[in-house]
Amino acid sequence: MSFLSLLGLSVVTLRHHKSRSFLTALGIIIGVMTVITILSLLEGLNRTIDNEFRFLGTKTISVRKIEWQMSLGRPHYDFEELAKRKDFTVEDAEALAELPTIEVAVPTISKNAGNLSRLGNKIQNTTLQGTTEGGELAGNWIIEQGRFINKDDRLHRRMVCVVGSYVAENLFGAENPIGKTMDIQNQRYLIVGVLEAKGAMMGSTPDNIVIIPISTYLKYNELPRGRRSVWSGLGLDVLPKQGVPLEDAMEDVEELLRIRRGLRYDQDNDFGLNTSQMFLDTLQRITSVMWLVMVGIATISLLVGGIGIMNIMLVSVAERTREIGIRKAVGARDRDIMIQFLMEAVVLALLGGLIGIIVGIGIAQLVSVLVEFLDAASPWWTVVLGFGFSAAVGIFFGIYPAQKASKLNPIDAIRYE
Amino acid sequence: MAKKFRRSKGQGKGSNHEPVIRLQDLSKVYDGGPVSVEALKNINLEIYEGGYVAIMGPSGSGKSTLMHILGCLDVPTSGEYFLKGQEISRYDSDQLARVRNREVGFVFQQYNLLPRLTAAQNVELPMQYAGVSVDRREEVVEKMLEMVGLAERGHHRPNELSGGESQRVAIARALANDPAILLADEPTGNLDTKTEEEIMALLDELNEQGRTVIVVTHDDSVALHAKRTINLLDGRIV
Repeated sequence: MSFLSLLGLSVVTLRHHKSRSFLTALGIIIGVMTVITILSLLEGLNRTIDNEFRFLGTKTISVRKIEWQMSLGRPHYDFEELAKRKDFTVEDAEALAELPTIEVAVPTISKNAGNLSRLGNKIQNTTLQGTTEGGELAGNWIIEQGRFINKDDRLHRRMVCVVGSYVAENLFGAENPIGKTMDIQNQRYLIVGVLEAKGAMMGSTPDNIVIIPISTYLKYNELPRGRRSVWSGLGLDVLPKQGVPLEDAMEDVEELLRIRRGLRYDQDNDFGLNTSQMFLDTLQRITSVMWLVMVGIATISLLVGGIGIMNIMLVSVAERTREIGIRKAVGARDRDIMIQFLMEAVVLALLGGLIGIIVGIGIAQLVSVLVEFLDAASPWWTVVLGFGFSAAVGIFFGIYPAQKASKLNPIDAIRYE
Repeated sequence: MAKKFRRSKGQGKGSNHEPVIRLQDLSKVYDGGPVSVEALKNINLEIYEGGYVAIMGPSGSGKSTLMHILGCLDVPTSGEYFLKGQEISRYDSDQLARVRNREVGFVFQQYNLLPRLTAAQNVELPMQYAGVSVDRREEVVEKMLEMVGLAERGHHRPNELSGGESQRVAIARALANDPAILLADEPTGNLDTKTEEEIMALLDELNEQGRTVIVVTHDDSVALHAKRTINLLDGRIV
């Protein structure tokens, strides 16, 4: 029999038992749906990491009073203790920069600059950051136009600034901001550079920023005291030399800071060394949990679905014993019968797979809509994988019933009532 | 009848000297645990091309077993079965399937049509397994249904057909691949007398056209149609 007539035969037979076929395929549907949904979400998460976390500059060590905690629950901090920790200083940064493993170390401090406006254009929540000429490297910035702030700016507390791409676009539009001035909290700054965009991250944008020399910043802004200093105090951004392992650099930084902060050997660190590696590690953990969940659910439901298919095919073989006998009597070979029943199992599994793929993509899209930072995508290979899995399950669990059907004795089969 | 030698296959070459069926010392033993039943004992039989044979005997005489072996639905325990000169008693299941498909057409008492297929699709079935092209299949289906007088009923399913019509479809199906012999196992067992006559007239006509016809029956009125009667009793020809 030709492939097409066998396919047609399978479809006709399965349509004859619509609800039975659907219920049988349910296991496959759930299994494939899980695979597609989770793979799509993982793909989305990977893209998020690629697009949005790249700007973190995975090698920069952020020295702060506080140690960042990444957890799905509420982090536990002792703010009483944190508030008492000693402030970092510009000199700390200079000392760290002397370390042989360190490329650049800069002091950094920032605050919300409030509303900025120019000729009717308005932006909100712009970050005003003070740093030194090394901030370009430490912050992983790339200059698009003009220049970054330099040593002279710092030494002379010049009223100059470098603006992020968001600020440039939304305040200046098509105009070139270089050489223009802008007012921030009653001070007028000359724009000397525009930064290349880093892209949005989880709703906030790192490009909504104005960077000024730290000396200028400190001239017009009080250092935060007490609890406010925990998050908003002066911090140190440290970039290890090319080729130096992050761990080695962190050890050097830790050692030097302990000495400078007068910690005894039995005292704990009163500062945190934070890297964006921690974000990535946490995401890695979430990703691997999702993988485990997917593999678990998919394995179980495909197994259950496969057994369901085997069961229903055995029932089908028994019900159609007479049909098998008749087919053999008119000349069907064992393998003709085998292929007929195998085809039926595979078509059943593939139909389940198709529904699973559609529902899975639907769920992934729904999650994309509901979760802002996750842009789920179902690449073509997940669809191939879905169909591949279903076909494999159909073949694997369809072989035994099909074999059983093909080995029936024609006389016994034809007499079967 | 004018179209007496319509059959194309096997007419010229074998001539009437070589029997189309030759059984030599053929026995069949059913080995059912402690007791084994000898259903057929040393059967010797020759049937020539164009023959019309009735196999008769009471139930348990072995006539159905003989029919199944002739139709390659079953294999003998010992002895030889030559079909068109080929010894086929030791054929494997694929070879037997091929013989069932091409060389013998089987008609059953229960019709044994596939209920979900139309009459035309039932007739088409043996040709599908023979790998006949779609065009050729349609052509033959039409011809066969016309031959059995059901040209207009091809699209009906078996449950829409009467017993006699079903048996006609079964005969059309049996002849679709133009087999050397037509085997009919109690073909009129489920039919009334009038329909029985119609079916037997159809078999007579097929025989007149040159087809070898073998009918298993316990009914004398059916056996009277045949040119030769073989009586079986306790697995032996008497």
